Amino acid sequence: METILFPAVDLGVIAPMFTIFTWASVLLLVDVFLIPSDSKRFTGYLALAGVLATGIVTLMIQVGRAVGPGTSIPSFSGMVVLDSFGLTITWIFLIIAAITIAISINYLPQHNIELGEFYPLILFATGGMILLGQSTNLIMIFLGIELLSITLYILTAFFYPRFTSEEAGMKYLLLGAFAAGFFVYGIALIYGGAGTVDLLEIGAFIAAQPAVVPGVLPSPEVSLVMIGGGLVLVAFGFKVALVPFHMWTPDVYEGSPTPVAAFMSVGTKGAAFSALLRVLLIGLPGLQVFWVPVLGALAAVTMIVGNIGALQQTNVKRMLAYSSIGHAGYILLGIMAANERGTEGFLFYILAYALANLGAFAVLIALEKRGEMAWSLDDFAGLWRRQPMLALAMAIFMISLAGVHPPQAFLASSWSLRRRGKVGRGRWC
Amino acid sequence: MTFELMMFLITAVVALTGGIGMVMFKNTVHSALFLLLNFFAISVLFLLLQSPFLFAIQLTVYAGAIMVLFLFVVMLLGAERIEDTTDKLAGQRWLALVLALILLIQSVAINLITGSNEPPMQELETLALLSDPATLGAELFTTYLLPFQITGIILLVGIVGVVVLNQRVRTAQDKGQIN
Amino acid sequence: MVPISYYIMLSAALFTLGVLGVLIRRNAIVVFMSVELMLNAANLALVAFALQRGGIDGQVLVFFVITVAAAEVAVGLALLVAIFRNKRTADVDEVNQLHG
Repeated sequence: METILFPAVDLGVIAPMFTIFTWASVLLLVDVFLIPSDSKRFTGYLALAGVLATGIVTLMIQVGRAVGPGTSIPSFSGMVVLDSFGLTITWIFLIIAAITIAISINYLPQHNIELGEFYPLILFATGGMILLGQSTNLIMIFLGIELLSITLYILTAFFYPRFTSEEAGMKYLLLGAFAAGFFVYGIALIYGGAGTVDLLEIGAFIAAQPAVVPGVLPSPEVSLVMIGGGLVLVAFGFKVALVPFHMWTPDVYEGSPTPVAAFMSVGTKGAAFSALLRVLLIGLPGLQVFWVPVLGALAAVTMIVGNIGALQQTNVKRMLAYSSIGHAGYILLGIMAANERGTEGFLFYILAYALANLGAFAVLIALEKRGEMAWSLDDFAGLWRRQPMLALAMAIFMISLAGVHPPQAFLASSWSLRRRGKVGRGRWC
Repeated sequence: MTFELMMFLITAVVALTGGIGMVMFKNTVHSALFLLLNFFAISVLFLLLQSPFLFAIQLTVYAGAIMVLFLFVVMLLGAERIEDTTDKLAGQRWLALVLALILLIQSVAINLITGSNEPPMQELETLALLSDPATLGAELFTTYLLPFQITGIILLVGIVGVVVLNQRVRTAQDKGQIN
Repeated sequence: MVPISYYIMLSAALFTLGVLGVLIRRNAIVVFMSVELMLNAANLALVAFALQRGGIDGQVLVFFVITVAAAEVAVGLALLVAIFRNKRTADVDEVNQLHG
């Protein structure tokens, strides 16, 4: 029997997700054995402490390894990488998780759905998002997406005994599993073509082939990678709700508990888009001539359908769902820019979008708390007289969501637009 | 026609029958049994493709655990009697057929592109290495160490989810929310 | 030896059948089973490509896919049971308090 030699691993690279997964697992046990069922809010506080601890670890890694632009420390046989993009998006995910937990602590008991498992599940989902932000291997991206999705299926159906919640969970699960099928088949074809699922190696493989130009039939291997890439793109389209694959979004947002809808709208988007960014920029830059027009068309249709759909809704949650569809289109533009500037714009945009969207959902929760059922747009009539502060906050968040962003976010969208012009394929919208 | 090709063709026909039967049959139990047939066929194909370990876990996990779970739930809920209602999305069936046709054409295209190239004759040693479960195990604990850990977390989340989704029914009953 | 492309053809046909099942069947359990068929088709392609490449990676990927599928099925069926307890139906169209 030969011995297995463990590879040299750099635990610092996975320190943030290691911390949050460990904390979540321990918190599950603590919640069951130590926290009485009438004071589950303490689990929430402990989960917040976990996010804080992860933040401290992330900071230590960032400072200790001097991570800056250009740093790239791979580990675990190139499965994950430590770079400034991954760390920045980790920070954004931690902020999202902290806000979600904070708005849940009062929301859950109010609606009589308080279970201690809610908070560890949020932490697990956040860990999945961090994983997605750092993955440089298709199988890691698949596992990250599945970890995030399975957790969200459970959280979506958390609103017992409201029937729409379970129904939304089921719908989300069926479509998510459908998307997973496309993703795995896509991975299979890419593996068949390139012989590897490592993004860097895929990129190197395509670079070694004769340059791909439209109109000329590429080699069989490259064709397989292209078809596989298309299937992977379809799967991502489902996850981030790009337009032909967006039908589940309004139903799921409406059915799920409001904090979960908030978490989902910003978290899933940020995580899936950052993974897509790596797939396209590291794995498939050689096929740019093909995916740029496709993404351009998708982005255009997504923006149009999302914004027009939002105008027609009378239910605020459904309106926010359509608005998030529209935003997926804008974020896609940032990805199309395909360079350092586009990446920065993408990160800025995700952060600004996350804050505005979480804010809007938080106002909804605050209104529900004060006995206002903030479901229909009619309920907002005269809000200024009843709750001036909340009305003002809602107005600010809505305006920033509508596209008149605070300065940084505006900068981000103008950057991505300018980049898009430079790529020179602006004819699509 | 070699023995191996004959085995492949028979198994392929069984697998396709399983798939078609699953999609066509109205009774959910019949669908589940046809899917089981398909899983068996695929496990045999794994054997033909030199991976006895996957043959074993395909049988134990897919055919043994997952399908039994499906059948158990179908029978527990009495869902086998539920018939399909008429389509509410008009034209969805046609759209589905068109999409399926596109996929099929695409698959033929893949075949034409890759050509009917024989697999490069692997060395006998490579084949022995490929079909040895120890190779797979070693790979899991070295190159794929991190994904392996992550699957553990995914399974943990799955367990928590199942408990949460059904535990709260009892919690709610304790609180007297539902009869 | 059987050409690898035969296996790929078979897996593509099975994948198409799975997609067809998801799109035309209305019963949630059958839709779920169709997704499993899609995953199995992908697994078949992965193992076939692994043999063609003479590498073990494809087989390892199948191992992960099977594990994840098991977790997903467990959660999905638990959810179905919960829905059934709440209201006795498993038809994705009949479950229709939310309008698409």
